[in-house]
Amino acid sequence: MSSLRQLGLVRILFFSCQFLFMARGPFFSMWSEVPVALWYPNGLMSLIADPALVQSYLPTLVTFWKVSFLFVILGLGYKYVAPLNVLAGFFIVNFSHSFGSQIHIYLPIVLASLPLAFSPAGAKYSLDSLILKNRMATPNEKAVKLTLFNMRLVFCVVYFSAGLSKILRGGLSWVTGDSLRNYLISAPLNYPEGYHIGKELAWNIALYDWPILCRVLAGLTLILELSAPLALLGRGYSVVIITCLMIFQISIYLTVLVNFISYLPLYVVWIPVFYSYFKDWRHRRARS
Amino acid sequence: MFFQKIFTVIIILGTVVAHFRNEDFFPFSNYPMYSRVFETDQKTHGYDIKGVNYDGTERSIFVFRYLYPLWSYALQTSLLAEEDDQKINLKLNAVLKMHNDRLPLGDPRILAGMRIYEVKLDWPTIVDNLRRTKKFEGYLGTDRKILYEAVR
Repeated sequence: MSSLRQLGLVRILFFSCQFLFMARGPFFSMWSEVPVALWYPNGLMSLIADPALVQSYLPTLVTFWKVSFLFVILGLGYKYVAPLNVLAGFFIVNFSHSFGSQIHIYLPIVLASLPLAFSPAGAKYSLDSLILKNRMATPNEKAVKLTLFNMRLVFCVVYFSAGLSKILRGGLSWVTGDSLRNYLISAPLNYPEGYHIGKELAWNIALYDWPILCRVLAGLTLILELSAPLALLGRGYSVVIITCLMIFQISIYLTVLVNFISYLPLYVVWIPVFYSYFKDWRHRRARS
Repeated sequence: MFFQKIFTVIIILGTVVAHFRNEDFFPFSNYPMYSRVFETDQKTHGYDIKGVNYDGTERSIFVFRYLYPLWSYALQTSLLAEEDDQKINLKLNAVLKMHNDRLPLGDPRILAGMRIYEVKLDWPTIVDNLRRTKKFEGYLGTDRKILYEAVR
């Protein structure tokens, strides 16, 4: 699969997942109802003098953002609509992060969408390519590859940063002590409301009785998180590391109760890598 | 190509700066969740936010239902983001108003007040309780004192 086709596929999957798992519901427009007294600006939002005024326009902006997903997924006017979609998303998510609480799962999605918006991702599998046909300029192959690299870089940086923070803040005692064991059992304190399959299974409570196993899992967590950048080195590394990270996320969901569904747009960035790896593997097997 | 090179630099530099500053600045973070050492025998403290009924009794607030898009943890971090007592009281009053404004007049769920407690957690007691009941039943058997209070 050529890089341009990979980018076209990533565009469809990334924006579809972002819409389905992040933008679809009322969550972002509801920040218009949060009292201004809670305003605690983050990043560029410090420049806003009157957050109440922004709140009055927020539902309209969110509606525009949601509608623009249709255009970027179909690849209609991509060159113009994608930057607007991503900048609107950047503003909306940044605004919702400016009331004193952080939702870390949304940060890498916003960051990864920036290189995608300013790339020729609309050149394949798009309405633009059907309408304009031969009138579209051939995109620079290196720029296409670098776009995919940047999105994968964001993915790796997230896990590597989480591992590095454990080393910098906790040191090796994060592994050799009872930290993971206590985080596991304290999970219901952080998520007291509503149904969660993890609460039903109560594996976090069962694991508490296995302190050595918890330390082994803590060590594996640290190794895996710090190994994430290896996924950028080659397809073989990517397949192993990304599969392990996916299993790791599912385990976190079932034990520490942290939902990772909003991360799915980042995982789809690796689908072309898996596809080409297994295609080659099948060819090699058929030949031998 | 130029834009993509710039993005590569931004992604790496932004992350380095987030680690260096040890705090988030949108959309960069050092992803510090669960990175603190959490030992078994340590006595730790936390915060509990309660609603006050008109008869003076207290009840838990179903944050996700009545204060959406906030949820329990977000409400706590939003209220306590700054250390200024006056600002925290102002925020608590605003949240109480938001809660009551979302309910119809005369609704029995309308609150007379809201309180933020500081709770000193006796970790072994909480762990025993969780292991026995397999669910969180509130901060049972802990020392608690009112830090902030809002009255309608």
